[in-house]
Amino acid sequence: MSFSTLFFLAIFLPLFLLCYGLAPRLAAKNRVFLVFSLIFYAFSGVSYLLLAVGLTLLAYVLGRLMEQHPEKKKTFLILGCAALLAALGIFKYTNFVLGTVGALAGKDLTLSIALPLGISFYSFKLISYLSDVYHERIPAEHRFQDLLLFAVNFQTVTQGPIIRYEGFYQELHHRMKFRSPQIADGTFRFCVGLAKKVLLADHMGEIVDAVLPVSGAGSASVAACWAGAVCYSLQLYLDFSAYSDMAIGLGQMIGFHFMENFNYPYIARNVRDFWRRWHISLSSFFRDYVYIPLGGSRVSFGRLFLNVMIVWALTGLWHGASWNFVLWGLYYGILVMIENLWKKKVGHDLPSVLGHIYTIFVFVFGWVLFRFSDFTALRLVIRGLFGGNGQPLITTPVALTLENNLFFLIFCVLASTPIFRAAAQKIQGKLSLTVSGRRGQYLLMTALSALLLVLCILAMAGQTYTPFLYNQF
Amino acid sequence: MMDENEKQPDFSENEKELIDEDYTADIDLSGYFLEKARIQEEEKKAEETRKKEKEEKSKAVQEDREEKKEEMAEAGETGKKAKPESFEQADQAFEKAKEGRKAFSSTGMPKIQLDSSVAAEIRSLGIQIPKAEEKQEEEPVEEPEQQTISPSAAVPDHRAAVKAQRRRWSRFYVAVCAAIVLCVTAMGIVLHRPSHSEVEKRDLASFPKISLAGVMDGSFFSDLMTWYADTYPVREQMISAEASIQDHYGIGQRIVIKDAATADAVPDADKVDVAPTLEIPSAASSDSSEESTAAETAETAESSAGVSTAEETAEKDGSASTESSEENAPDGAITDEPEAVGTIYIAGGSGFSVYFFNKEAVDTYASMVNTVAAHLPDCDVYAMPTPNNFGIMLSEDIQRELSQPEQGVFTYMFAKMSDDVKKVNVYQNLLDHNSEYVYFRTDHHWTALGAYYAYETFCDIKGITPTPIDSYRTQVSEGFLGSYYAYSNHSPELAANPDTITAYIPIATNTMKMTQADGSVVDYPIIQGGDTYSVFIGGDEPLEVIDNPDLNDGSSVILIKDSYGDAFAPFLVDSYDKVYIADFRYCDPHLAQFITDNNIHDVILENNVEFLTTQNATKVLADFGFTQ
Repeated sequence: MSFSTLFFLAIFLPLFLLCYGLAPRLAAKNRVFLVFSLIFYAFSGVSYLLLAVGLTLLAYVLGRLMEQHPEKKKTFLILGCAALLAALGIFKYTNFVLGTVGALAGKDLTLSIALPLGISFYSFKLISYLSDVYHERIPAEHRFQDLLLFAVNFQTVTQGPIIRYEGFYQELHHRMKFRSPQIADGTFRFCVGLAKKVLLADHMGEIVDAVLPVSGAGSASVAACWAGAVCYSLQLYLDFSAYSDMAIGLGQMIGFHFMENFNYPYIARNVRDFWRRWHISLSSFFRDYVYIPLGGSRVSFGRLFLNVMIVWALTGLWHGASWNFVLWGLYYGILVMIENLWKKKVGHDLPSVLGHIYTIFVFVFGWVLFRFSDFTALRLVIRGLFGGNGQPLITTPVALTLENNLFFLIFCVLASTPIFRAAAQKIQGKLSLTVSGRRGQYLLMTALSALLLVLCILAMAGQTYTPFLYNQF
Repeated sequence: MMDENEKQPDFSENEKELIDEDYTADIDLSGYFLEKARIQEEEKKAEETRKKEKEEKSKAVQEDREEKKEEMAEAGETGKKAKPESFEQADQAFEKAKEGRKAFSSTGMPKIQLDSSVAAEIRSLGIQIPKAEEKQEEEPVEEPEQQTISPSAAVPDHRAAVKAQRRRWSRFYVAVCAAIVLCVTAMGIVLHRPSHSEVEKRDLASFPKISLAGVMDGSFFSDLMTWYADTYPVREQMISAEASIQDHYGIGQRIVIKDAATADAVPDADKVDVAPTLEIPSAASSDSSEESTAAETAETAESSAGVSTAEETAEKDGSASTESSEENAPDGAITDEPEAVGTIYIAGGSGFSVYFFNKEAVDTYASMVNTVAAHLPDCDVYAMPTPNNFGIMLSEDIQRELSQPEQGVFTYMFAKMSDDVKKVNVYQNLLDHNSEYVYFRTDHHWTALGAYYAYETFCDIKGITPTPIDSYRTQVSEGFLGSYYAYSNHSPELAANPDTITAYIPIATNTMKMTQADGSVVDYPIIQGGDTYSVFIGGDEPLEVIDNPDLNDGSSVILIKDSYGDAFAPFLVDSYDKVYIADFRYCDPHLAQFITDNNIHDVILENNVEFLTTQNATKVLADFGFTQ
């Protein structure tokens, strides 16, 4: 099930909130939450649900064993991580390995393996749980249903922030009551996310497919390559940050405060800043559970370089089971190293404006690497970006497509900056001082949400199911 | 390295080192430091509010904390029994942290600064009050200031009023959103769900069957969600509304690109050679797999005459797609799908499919035509590729801007056909009449009038006189919104300019024998009523046979066509004794035998330039079922 479908909005969500609201006490509410999360996950296939429950059970057992036998906890940690990574590896990377081996041997060895929903996310969540138990940051969980809810809660299981167990557990047992102020806050956040996804990201996806399609990209004009790359960057940001908005909003509705996953990455001043704003939960996972254990930066320079490259290669590989994703990860790794060296040599980062422009070029080019898994097509597009693929500067169909969406594109660019939030905060500051001001503020919020909801419903009617970009993970 | 981590006693040192990593985050969001960070943050916040005198912030902080306090109190009761022992320490630490906060006293009540005399009095009653809650003499100014800074703190009623207002409006807000969502839910349950979409020309998804396999692998659920969205009651109206909104996303002539393509360069027609004939697919050619070879030789051995049995037709319809895919056409076009357009250009209330010249496809088509002509020496083979509205209605300049001019493609195509082929180039005649209503605005087909001009050209090449157009009775229907309307997602510009279908009814007879997909033969009107393109010979079916009662000279023609031929076919009725119409996608693939068995003399190959793909050309050749 995807959040941006009529079925979720009209059937699942109202039913869930109704049952949740009717449940008398917190414990009952948590049970309702668990049942609905399991149903939500079951929509992707009951066999995959069993897999997720099985892996959670494994993590649960190992966690308790670690607690009971602290002298052998390293073994249990290794066992748990190995099992989780093996599951992830089998489902996600088998064809990657077979394809690479096959390409070298000249045969086609790929199998047909479906990817369980959210396995990249919940396996990382469980690894972080095991690691935290190992380091005694948290005690092992004794109630299996709590750990299960942590792994499969419907807000974050598909593509949500990779949450940590400690914060989740605390809010599982102590959180805001299910009252209208909290529901309202969560609903507003959810509406904004839904609008970003359905109104902006999906349409942007259509533009990208028209201007720079994945197949046939070799015949794209120079303008098509650049416009396609920029539009694709916007699409990815809007799509993924919309999902995080919706996950956070849905969590807020029932009193959970999940970590922010995006912080306007496209206004970053340099690549390191970009990665502090993009998919924050993932980069903190890699920092805390891979980079630090490998030694971080408290090692020799050679080892530091290796650590950074390993982490970035894994980050790239996590995003997709194809070599272009590894390349994409290493691309960022090298840039991060260069920036760090620059900072050491020169003493400070690039000045603000120059840094912004540099970062924009970096991530736009990065997303081109991200889009094309076929290296032939990728090469053609890169040559096209610099005018070397024999195609004209611009063609009329592409020019018309951009013209037809002129206002839309401008709006999307603005939506990727904090300008709307700043304006909203300013208005809120002015209005919240008086009673009538506050009334106006609430009226504005209600009208805006209602409008967004109606527009989203209209837009969702035409789709027969458009999965999120990261659903392949 | 891991051990080093474990031995770290001091949080701040670790934190500092992590910040120094500068790898990804200066902001530490790891849950590991959640509690510490939260306490520090709150201390910082408290300091800030005191320093910067932000009324609302301190008010909000105190409000939230009170709520949480209530929450803790309540949740604490219910959660206690369930809490495992090991987490109690964490909870105690949490409680302690709470105590450290300045807003709360250990009794959990909001801090009230008491006069020392009052405090002493209370203490004398045996009630314990920590020193912190007494007014401290050392800070006479700050504490009272804290209270007087925020008028709400001095007037508790005001704070409660703000909270009450927020609560009221939240309820209203939630009610509005719930109302909108529940409207959608209700409409989905109460209103009737359609099963067929006339605009999209397809059956909508049906409710999936429950099967264990489907539930286990999730296909049942995804089909269920598809069904829910596909058959949602007012879907068409919502899509139209959405299209009107999207119309305001920008400026300029509308273009809808569903399948981006580029044009090959059109070679100079003077310098081309005649296209070589193709190898017959049923012979051992490298393109077809062994399976399809065996199937085809078996079928040709059966050698059915004319109409095939129901069984065979059904089999062929089902296996046609596998055959065509096994024929291994490089451009990957799927023959059995309805005709789809790639790029639609909308200007002046009309839609145009942008044609992108594909040299290989056109070369294959020319080769195919040459091959057919070579294998039918006793027949007159007429090649009649038809242009689309892009080439006829748009100026050459616009054509060149969007892809390439179309007329040159036709010149090139005919230059590649051999002398065995009778070349019917309808382009110029249509171009001469392009100020008339020769193409639809909202559909990719030509009108009956456009087909008539093609018929005129055909008669010219054949050497007969065309029936004058005035001698036909007409049937007119209005409000036709065709394929462009659907593919452009209900473009409002096209919706405002629906088409009128004028059909010319053949003089001699308006009845034909139609062989349907299931093999049954029925009587069917040549021109029937309706407001879609199917008024012409009932749309695309395997075979239609028309016997002209007024003409019995034995003249016969077979028209092997795509959907453009539908509007063209009725004009042949009055010029021939017998007219046979076969759609190359659905017909029985033994046309050569059929032609021999029925003594058909004229063969017209009609294909629209838009659908001249390598795969389609190969399919037409395969339909003849030539043996070597």
